[in-house]
Amino acid sequence: MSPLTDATFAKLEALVDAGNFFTDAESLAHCTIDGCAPRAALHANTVEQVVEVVRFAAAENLAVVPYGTFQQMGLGAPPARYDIALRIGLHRVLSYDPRDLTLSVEAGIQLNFLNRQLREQRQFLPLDSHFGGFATIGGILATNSSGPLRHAFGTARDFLLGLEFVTGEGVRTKSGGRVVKSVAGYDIHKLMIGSLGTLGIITSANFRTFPLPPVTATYLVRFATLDDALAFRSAMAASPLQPRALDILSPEAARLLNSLAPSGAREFSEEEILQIMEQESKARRERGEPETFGMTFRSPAPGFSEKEWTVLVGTGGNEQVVERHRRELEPMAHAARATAFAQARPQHPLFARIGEDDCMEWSYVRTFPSVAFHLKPAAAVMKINVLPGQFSEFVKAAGEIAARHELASAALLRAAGVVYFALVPSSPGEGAQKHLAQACNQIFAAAQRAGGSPVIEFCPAALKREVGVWGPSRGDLALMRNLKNEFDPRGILSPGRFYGGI
Amino acid sequence: MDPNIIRELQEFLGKQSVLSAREDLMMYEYDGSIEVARPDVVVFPRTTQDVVRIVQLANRHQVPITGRGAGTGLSGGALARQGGILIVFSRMNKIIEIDLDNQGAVVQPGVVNLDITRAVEQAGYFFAPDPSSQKSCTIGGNVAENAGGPHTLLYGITTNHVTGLEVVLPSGEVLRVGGKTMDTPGYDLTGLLVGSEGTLAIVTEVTVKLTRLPEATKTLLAIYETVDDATETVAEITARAITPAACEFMDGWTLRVVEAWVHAGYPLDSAAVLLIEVDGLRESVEAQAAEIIDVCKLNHAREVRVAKDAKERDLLWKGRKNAFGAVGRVSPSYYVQDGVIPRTKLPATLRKIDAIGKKYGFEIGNIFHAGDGNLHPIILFDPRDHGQYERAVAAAGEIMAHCIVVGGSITGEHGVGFEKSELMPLMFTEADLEAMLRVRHAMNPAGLLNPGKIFPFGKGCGEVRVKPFPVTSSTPL
Repeated sequence: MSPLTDATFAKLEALVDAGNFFTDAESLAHCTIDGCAPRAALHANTVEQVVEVVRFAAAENLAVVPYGTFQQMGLGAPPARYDIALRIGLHRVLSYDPRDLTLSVEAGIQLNFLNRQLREQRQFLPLDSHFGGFATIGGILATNSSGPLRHAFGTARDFLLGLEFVTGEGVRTKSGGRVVKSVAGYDIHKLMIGSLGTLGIITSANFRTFPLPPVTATYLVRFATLDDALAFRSAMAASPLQPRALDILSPEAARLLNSLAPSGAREFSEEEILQIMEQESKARRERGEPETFGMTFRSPAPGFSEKEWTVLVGTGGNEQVVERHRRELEPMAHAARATAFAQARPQHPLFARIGEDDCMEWSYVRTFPSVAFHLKPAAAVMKINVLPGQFSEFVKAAGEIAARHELASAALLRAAGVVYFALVPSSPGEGAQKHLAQACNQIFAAAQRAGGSPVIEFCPAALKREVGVWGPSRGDLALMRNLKNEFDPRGILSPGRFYGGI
Repeated sequence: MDPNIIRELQEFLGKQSVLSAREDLMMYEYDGSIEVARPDVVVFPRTTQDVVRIVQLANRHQVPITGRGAGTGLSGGALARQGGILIVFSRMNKIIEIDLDNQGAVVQPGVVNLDITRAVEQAGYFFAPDPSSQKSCTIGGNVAENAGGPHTLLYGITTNHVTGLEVVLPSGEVLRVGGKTMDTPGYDLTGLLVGSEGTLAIVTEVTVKLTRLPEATKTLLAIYETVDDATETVAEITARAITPAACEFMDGWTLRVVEAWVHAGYPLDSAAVLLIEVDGLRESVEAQAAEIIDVCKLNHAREVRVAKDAKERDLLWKGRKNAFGAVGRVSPSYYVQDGVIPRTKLPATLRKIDAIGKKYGFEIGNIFHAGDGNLHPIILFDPRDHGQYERAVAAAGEIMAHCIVVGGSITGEHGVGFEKSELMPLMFTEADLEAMLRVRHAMNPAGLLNPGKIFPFGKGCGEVRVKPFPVTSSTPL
């Protein structure tokens, strides 16, 4: 590792605003990824600063990892080199035309904050992340995050119209446009989605927005077996009904989520909740932990069944549409042998204002992958894209693999075709990690047999040394490497973090 | 073209799969646009392996390759601008697999768009992207251009319905990108390739998503005395965040031309109509239709007709989908554009188009996807009068410039091709075009795939300059 000279540090510091350059141990610890700390942490507050820092880094061959709130930085392999942590402190809504339902925002804006503004026009953006609405737009795009609403709305690629980014050579570039339909030029903005900051640093993005439904209702349906729950899913898919979201929780996943609520929980008032949030936020800051969502104050406990499978069905539309769903879902559920069917209690108004969740159960479920890891830091949480028709076979195979390796497992199935699968060692230690690594590799193979693609989203840093989190590489890797070389010829943007070691 | 090349092609494809006589080549020198370019040889592969061999041969002889489906494209995408080999996919037209359980299908590129829907509609599904030419256009072409259509307002465009591809790279290597599910880890190569207009890879297989047919559909025809009232209606529908399944505008002039041929029941004395369709659950359709009718009336619609049965609906759509054909009967030549603008700018833009028409002395018809702001002004001109042609191009340029100034795009669905390549700098900076050229360099370094498309002619930038290759016996541009 070449030494960063004082002169280099001084030049870097001059590229950002005063007070936005950090080399102290505490700040660098804050930006650590899997045990790797950068040599400097910088906050860029303008696009020009992002450009200057990247240009300088390219010239000096310094590796740069961009971030927003730093919450999602665990995704991917550890960086092969890590000199500069660059916070993209760009927060503005650049333009919003509610009458055209189009929007342009800077990448550092947090989803919650943005949705709050869109709400004023009765609109929203159906993006989501495992950390709820605290993630930034740039972070959500760079990690291709999604949540329960992908069922009805698809993912970012389905409503991103264009974006601006800074290449690995520090060139400001844009792709796509700002209107709802354009096919001019290559869809480079699609390449940027999920690219983990390896092709360029996203500085702003353009989206189409969607109307908030006048009425929403969520149903919690319980089944004794996964196959029964899946029969319900199939029945819905074959019907004209159009749920907004459809998630299936295993009993073990339910147990994990239930454990989040404080014991002896009671109803809190809005002031109490705000106070608790502020206290927790302060405590985190004092411990030098990143700002994150606070889950511990939520109450009452979701009370998911820990013996049965729970299906959450989100519906929305005008009153007649919602009523139609309620009328037809219940008999459909019972035909699939549901053991219980109930409407979820509407959300506390405070949280309804912050997020779009109409009930508190969604708030828990949408963050399951990160929460599982938060509660079980020795676990591996995988995301596997599997066709719904293959859900049953795959989840059973994965469960068997876990059991054979003495690992507990918890699953969340998202009907759009995603399984989040947590593998939890019952006891820590070398042996457990070996088992975990073996199980992960076997699940990768099972996923491929099911025609799916697996990724480990959360796991202990030590595991990443034994298992490639991106799973086995495919034939398209060479092409991806070529593209990487075109956008980042010096290889300074998040090197080594991505699929295939890119 | 070197007769050895033709002979080699005949050897591995068979003589019936190779056309080289001049009168045969002339059949492939045009598409739906006003451009013309003759290939040096036309080939009809049946398998991916055939395509591989064609590409390998092209590499050996450094000859350009262009792909073609049905040749209905409107931007010159399927024309061999620099001669060479034209690969026509009409014989790769099998539906390989249909998986209704998982709402997907795997098809060869030569499959006709509507045939995908026909194969699954009995079971209650359809393939959503519905270009007006869907009875003849092919899925390979749809993928190349990222095709749209009237129903894409609600359902999305081709890229939203393609999860994976098998392609042949310019190197001759066969590659699979994406798969049956979305979100394959790594860069979204499928998303990059859809809409790349055949300049990055040759598509030999497409994995598509199928959509459930809606439970209910309601088709409305709103009739107006002024263009302004119709465009204001569209702006207001959008502003109320109503998303119809389709919202098409036809002005009075186009309407009369279409009615003379199709007899769809369009009113001959109106200034404009809106053909609006809503679909989905019954309850949603009723509510949307009611609100839309309200908005039409608030904007002085003379009448709003509701199609009472499938027959009436089909007739209304037949008129819309055959409109350009109808116009073709009236004018020796017409120039269709494809600009996009924000819906809020619709009324002002149509007034602007009217003014531009008057300035240059042209009748400009407007029949387009008003719901997503995708304009299709039709400039009618007599190609025998060179002055008219030049003025048509100038008028088109002004319309395009206006679209960009109000924050829109130069192409909503037809693609850039070579018809609009010179307009790219209106939308993209040098740096933006450089990024695209680098993508092309990463994938098509020798520049043999569909050269002369998308990028302004002669555009290069130092080390990624496209190597000039011999232009053979193509028609001069």
